[in-house]
Amino acid sequence: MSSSPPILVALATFARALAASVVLAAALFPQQKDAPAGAGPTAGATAGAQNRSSSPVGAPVGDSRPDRFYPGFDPDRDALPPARRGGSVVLHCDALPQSLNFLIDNSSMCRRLQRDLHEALIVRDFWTLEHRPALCEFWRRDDALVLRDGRRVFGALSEGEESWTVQPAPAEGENKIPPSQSVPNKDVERVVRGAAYTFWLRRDVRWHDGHPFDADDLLFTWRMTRNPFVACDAKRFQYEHVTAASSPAPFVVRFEFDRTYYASLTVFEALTPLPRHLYDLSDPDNAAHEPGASDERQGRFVNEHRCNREWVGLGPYRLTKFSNESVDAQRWDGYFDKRNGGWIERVRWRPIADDRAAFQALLAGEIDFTTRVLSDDYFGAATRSDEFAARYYKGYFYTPIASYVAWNLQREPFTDVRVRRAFAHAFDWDEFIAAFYGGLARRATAEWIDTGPDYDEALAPIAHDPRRAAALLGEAGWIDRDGDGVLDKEGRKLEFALSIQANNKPGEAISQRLQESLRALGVTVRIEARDWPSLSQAVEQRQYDAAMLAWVMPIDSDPRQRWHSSEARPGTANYTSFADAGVDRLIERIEVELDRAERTRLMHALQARLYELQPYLYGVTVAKRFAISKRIRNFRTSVLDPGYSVREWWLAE
Amino acid sequence: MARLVLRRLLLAIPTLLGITLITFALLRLLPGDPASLRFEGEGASPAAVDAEVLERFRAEHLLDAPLWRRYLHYLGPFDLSERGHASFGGDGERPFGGLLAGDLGRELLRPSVSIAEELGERLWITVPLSLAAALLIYALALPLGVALALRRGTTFERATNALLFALYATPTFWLALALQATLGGGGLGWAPAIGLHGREADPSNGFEYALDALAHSVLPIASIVAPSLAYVARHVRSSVQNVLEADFVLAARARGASEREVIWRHVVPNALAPVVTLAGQTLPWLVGGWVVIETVFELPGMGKYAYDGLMRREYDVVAACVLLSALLTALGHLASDLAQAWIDPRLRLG
Repeated sequence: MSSSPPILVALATFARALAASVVLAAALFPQQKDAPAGAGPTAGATAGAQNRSSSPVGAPVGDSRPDRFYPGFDPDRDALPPARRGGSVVLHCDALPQSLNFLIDNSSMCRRLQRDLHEALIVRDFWTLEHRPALCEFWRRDDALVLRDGRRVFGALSEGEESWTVQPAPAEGENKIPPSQSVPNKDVERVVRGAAYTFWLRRDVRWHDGHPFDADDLLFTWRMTRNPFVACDAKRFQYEHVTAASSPAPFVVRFEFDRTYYASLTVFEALTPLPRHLYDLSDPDNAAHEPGASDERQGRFVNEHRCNREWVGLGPYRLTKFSNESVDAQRWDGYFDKRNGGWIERVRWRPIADDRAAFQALLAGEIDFTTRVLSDDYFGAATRSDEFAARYYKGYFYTPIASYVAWNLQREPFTDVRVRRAFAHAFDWDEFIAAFYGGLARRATAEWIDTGPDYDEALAPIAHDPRRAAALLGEAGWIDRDGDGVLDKEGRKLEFALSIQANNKPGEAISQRLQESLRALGVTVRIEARDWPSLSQAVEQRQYDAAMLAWVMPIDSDPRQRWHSSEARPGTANYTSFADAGVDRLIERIEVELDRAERTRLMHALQARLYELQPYLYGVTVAKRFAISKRIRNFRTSVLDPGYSVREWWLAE
Repeated sequence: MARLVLRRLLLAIPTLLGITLITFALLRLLPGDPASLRFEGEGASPAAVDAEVLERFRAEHLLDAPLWRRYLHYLGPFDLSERGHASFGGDGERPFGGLLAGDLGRELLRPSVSIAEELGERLWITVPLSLAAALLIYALALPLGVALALRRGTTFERATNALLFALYATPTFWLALALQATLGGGGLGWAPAIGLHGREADPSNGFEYALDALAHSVLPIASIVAPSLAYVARHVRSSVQNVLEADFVLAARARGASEREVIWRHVVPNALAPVVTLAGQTLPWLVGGWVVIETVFELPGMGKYAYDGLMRREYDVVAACVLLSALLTALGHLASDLAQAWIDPRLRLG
């Protein structure tokens, strides 16, 4: 370069700087595009808002017809063909999990893979949202009286004026019903509903290496949850109320709880059975058999076991490869439930971090399915071409991800509910949903799954009303006294920092729109984009004013961690440090309420109170935009993550 | 020659130590808590984890220890953790560790993964790509540079110069994205644009599997070769131009040597010395460049490992990748010194 004329060197440098600045600008300023007229499924969005049931592709039923996904649908051409085995599919994911052992890996991707590679004692049905048996044939719930001397009497309970009547269940293997027992009220310290769950296991279940599955596998797994050296700390709290586990008979396991808790059954949904013959050092079948191994040795053995990546599971698909390039699985003929054992022969999950690149891979035929289609591609020419239409459907479905802005209630100005409500009035969500999401998002009035039973659909969203917002700020004492365009109070300006995750386009767009909306009211918002580790740390330590976040909710979400005053401290999920006596009482009642209808009523009351107090600026539930190969049939969507079930799919000829 | 090698190797030691120190300090200054990241996931919060658990994790990995202690632990050869050397307060289970003990450690989020093993696996992708790119750069840049020098002032030189400037001015990641979008499956479909293998690639069929990998390497290599090609070709051109004006070239012509003989026997060998210096630095530079390219093309090599490690606050992963790049840089310099000394005997003395 030494002989280059200086002007050319300068030009080259300038060109580099220009190109870098263009890219930088593109990264910093998100595309806030209006949905192209007629291109976006405006009608689809409306249909989506009304259609909150599952949606099959290829099965033209009601509102969930595939023409909602793709306007060019032709019922003759695209009718659902008969189910057949064979073929392969490649599914896109943004990243692979660190391991496939869900006991020690807390990622949602691990859980998603486990749905097909593994099986749980019970599972949540994708379509009914109720628990159903998987590794067990059935289960029984027992209540218990805890007596003042510490003993527990199990059985069906009925309360009398002076005593309780307990009807114990027959012993395993006996048909004779034992006599009932009367316990005086004065001897009873407390009643535990759901004090024990007994599961009768299937006898035809085998691990992928052919070893039979039995009750010992479950008991070993439960013991591992109590081993402090097993790296399941993020999950251990789920099992802390399981006080005992036993196997009263072959293929029968029983777990006891020390309290009444409405979501006790979810423990068994999350419990990942580990193959004892591979993980338990005390098992003589284990190649590394080591009787008398310490807890620490056993814990490290589990944490560092090769099978955490070379998974041996119980699901309809058997792992064949786990590399940095993909997770590959093959349909397993030994799966116990033939009707639910999958149709497609080989499934590959392929990680592509960049969504745009993933869409390119889809068009190149490298992947068959992605749920991360960008707005540009979804509404743009790429998905309107004849070539795309000939090979793919596009569509959307809603998953339980709710965005929000958390206000730090320990900091000004968020201590005043009038300010929080004013900010809610300031933001025009409806306009934003139409402009940024092309209509494919729904306003949220709570973080619960908005299609689940606990969500209160009757709760009206706060209306966009800048005048009301200004009035509320005035009531709270925030007035522009010095005429500089920024509200002030007692010498302080009304300003705060809004932390968002860097390179998160929706987060950037929402924060900029909020900044604009509040500036019009005389509020200064500084946007601070941070990478996730930094943002996470700030929120954990409450070192923030406001933060743009999102919740991924399970169906039986326990509100205690987020809203109970006992959790209002750094390091908890009560990010806002929220504390309200009324909310505490509601949460405590919800936790022990086993009646679904009554619990729903309490949940709705809780949501109403939270919405009134606005500890969050409640955001939106966003639709996942997907594109799927037309070869794939029987694609249905569910509100439960990930929103579809691979084992139900089959391929057209 | 042996003294030259020895001196270079001795000089590399403080350089590498300095690099480990700077890398270590910079990484630890980054905001973000690996302990929180370790336990977050479902629910996107480590909130469900007891504070003692987080503290135990931090203590186990010295995350709360003073920076100097953490650095010495990282450097080795003594393990200063709770399970480390008894002389430093550990229980003696694992007395040695760290770089000087040849131990790059384990990942924080995947404790079953040894960083050295993972890095070794990924280098099998990055190093062949880098070598292929380096060979291609020089195979194209040498004749192109010579041709530019010989055709000075012609339309060919001006047009090629403009093209080389455009290539040089193009940011690597932009070029990679542009090639991916235009030539990949979403564009003209001329070459695969994502990953190292296609969906039908079968590892049991070695030849076809290798061909598939080669096809998937075309765009990544093109992305990294183009700007480098421009730089090296212009370097060759100026070097050849300088030599063309030397007296010995004039003398060769005066002796009646043919133009071909003048160029390839007298000019090019003498113009190579500065180009060889450049060559020694190309490999580590390329390895660094793969951070961007592997991320764009989703290649599971060392560059992507470093990028993902940074995003996950896997300090030891990033440090290992930086150290490896530094080592390659030192070796590259040594190799170029040796090559120059081989070309020019006067340098062997000094």
